[in-house]
Amino acid sequence: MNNDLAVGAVIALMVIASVSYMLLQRKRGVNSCGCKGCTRCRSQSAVNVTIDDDGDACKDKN
Amino acid sequence: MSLTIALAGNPNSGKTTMFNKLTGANQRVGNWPGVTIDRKVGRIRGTDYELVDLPGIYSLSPYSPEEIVSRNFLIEDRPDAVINIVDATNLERNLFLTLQIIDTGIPTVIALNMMDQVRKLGDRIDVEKLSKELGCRVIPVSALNAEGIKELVTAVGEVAEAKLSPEPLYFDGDIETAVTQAEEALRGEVPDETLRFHAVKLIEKDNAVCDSHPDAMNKVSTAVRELERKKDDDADSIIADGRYNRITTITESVVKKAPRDERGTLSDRIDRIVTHRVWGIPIFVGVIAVVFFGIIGFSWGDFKIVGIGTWCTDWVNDVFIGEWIDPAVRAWCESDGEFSSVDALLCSGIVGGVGAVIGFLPQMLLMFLALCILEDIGYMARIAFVMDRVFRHFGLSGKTLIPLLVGTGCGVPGIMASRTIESERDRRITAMTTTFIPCGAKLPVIAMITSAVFPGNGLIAVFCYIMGIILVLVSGIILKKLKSLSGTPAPFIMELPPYHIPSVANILKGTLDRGWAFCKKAGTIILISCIILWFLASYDTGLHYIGDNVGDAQSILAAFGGAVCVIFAPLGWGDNWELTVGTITGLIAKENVIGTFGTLFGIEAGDNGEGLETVLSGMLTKSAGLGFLAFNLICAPCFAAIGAMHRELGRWRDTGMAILYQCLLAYSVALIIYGFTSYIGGWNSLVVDGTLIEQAAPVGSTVAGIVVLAIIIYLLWAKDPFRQLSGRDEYDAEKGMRA
Repeated sequence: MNNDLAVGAVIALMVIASVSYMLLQRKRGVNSCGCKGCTRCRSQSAVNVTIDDDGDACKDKN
Repeated sequence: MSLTIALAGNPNSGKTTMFNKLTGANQRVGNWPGVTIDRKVGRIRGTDYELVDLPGIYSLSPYSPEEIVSRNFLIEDRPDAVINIVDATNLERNLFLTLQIIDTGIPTVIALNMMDQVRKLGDRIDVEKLSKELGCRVIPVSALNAEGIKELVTAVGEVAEAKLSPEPLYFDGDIETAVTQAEEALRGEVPDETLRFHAVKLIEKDNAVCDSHPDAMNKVSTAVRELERKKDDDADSIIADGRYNRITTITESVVKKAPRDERGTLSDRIDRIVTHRVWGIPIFVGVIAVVFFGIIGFSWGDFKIVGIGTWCTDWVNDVFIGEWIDPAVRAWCESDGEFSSVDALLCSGIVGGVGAVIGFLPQMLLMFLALCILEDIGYMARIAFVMDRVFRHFGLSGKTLIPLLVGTGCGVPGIMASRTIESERDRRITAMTTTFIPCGAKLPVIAMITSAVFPGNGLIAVFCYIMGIILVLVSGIILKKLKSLSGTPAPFIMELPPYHIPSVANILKGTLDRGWAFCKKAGTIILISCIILWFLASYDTGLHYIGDNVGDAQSILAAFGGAVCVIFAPLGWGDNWELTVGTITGLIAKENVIGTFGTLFGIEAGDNGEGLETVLSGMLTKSAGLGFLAFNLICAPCFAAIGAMHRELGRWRDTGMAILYQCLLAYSVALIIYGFTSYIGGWNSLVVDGTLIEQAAPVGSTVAGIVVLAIIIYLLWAKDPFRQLSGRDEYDAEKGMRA
């Protein structure tokens, strides 16, 4: 029996899981390298920018 | 009741350890000052209290970004209470910040940390008396051993709920008179609770306070001048002196120090060797060499040591993936009697690409472990100290070293750590050059090229780190000659933490965190990249599937790579479009270089039975391989690091210039390496089917390399048109004028 459908489904699941995780991380302000960055900060290069776990304080402050 | 509690203290006083103990968080703890470069928020376990971990600071004067962050939070946001972490082994220096926090009028509890160390030294601190002298609760704690944590939480809750502001510590006669005048001048302009803090800062001529209250400054300027005349000193020095006088009186009455060994502490004795003016750098190189020889291995002629990491990686690649995972997946795919394009995507694209990256996990874990141990015992801080001497010699700030050390883990926090540098010029140069030091993601690339062209030779990894440091120095010297990056280097003062036995939990956490991040990257961005690459490498430009031969020269990727790879011909690897594609996909994440090779060569799919290293050694000579490695380490970093660099540099034009500089430098270094080292015996040969095939001498590359080297030397020695006079220059000039 042809198992292409099963193989395709496994690949699709892996892609959906990894893309969803990357989007979630992006929403949480975490870079693709796994390190947190001030991606949501409006001040961008401000020197005294502050960051907290969800980036909100940073966003509000600037 | 919901309360906001700030955690403030000197650098390396144990704030992050205390934060983790109080909140149950897992923030990374580093044994060097400046680990916390932003503020972190958590909730104290078993309470409603929100705890804000502020960066380590020595004072509330806004000299550095960390001090600005902490001061703004304390003065503008006004938390309900402050836990001031004080290093009990160094009370005099820590109390300088304490007195300023008390001036803010915020209810304060002093956490007298490292009491276990005090006991170990045989010292005694009268906690009751210290509490009375400072006018606030003092709780002896040891954050590392979780001693006194409950008492601290109870105390801070009581103080915050009762809003028990500490009584300020008054200065001696004349100073206090001036402060009282400043309070009168500021009354109504600032909230009553911060009146004392602002008044003292006004007398200190604090820029931020003076600028926002010019009328008050005018009113007290006569009093300040009078004070300066009487005390024959600057106002800020008079205030600092006043504080230290008070601190000396307090510590003399509460601290009983045990007699010390004349030779100093064990840390002092070790430091005499490892930070030695002459031996410091060779010891640093030796330590890095031992780490990499142990992990990757070492070979010189017939002498060979197999590294533990290499052995583990070989097992994962050959047995775990090569014999277990790959055959199982392939058998499942072929169970229907045919091997379709979907089957090929799973076997060659995903298992091949992601498997090649995962194969390096054991080596990565061991390298992360070694770096974590070096950091936790306190040696990383010594590296900064030793290298500062070299950096200052070349007119660069030693402050650049902290981002470089942070960057050994990941370039993004490394670049972000450049924010702690006050000087705009130093900060920008550091943000541009931090990624020259190999980060965790570049380690598998080093390991792969090493095992392919320099089998089991850890010297290559040592070379990569030394090359990174040298290029940071070279870039600093060249870039500071640009008008926008000119200026004098900022001074660098760093406290060396005492050596201690590494904490197993901290080391395991650091290692596993980095290892987990590596796996997550393999399962996300590298997986997606491999799928896209497989598609581009398996279909021709007419979008026809060309079979499981993913490296086919008719594919879309081959057409693109073939057009671009000519750029790299002078570097010795322009004939192989796969290497060019690997370099470009490395921009997504540096591990992607390996994932790309795994996908393109279809190695793990087992279609040719050769290892990745075997294929690469048939494509790269030793010289070209080293040049390829150098290019990939120095050229534009991954997109995440480019984003971080852009945030620090501010404008896309500057970011673009920085990337162009990095790529040009990478190309130049690779050209010099290939052009010069090809004449070393055996370095210009390819290994095909186990036999060495000597290649033609790259005369053109050598000539180009000589020209590029001459340009670099000229740029290094050329006069700096924007050089500003340093203190020494001014002194010499003044002496000359007098003569």
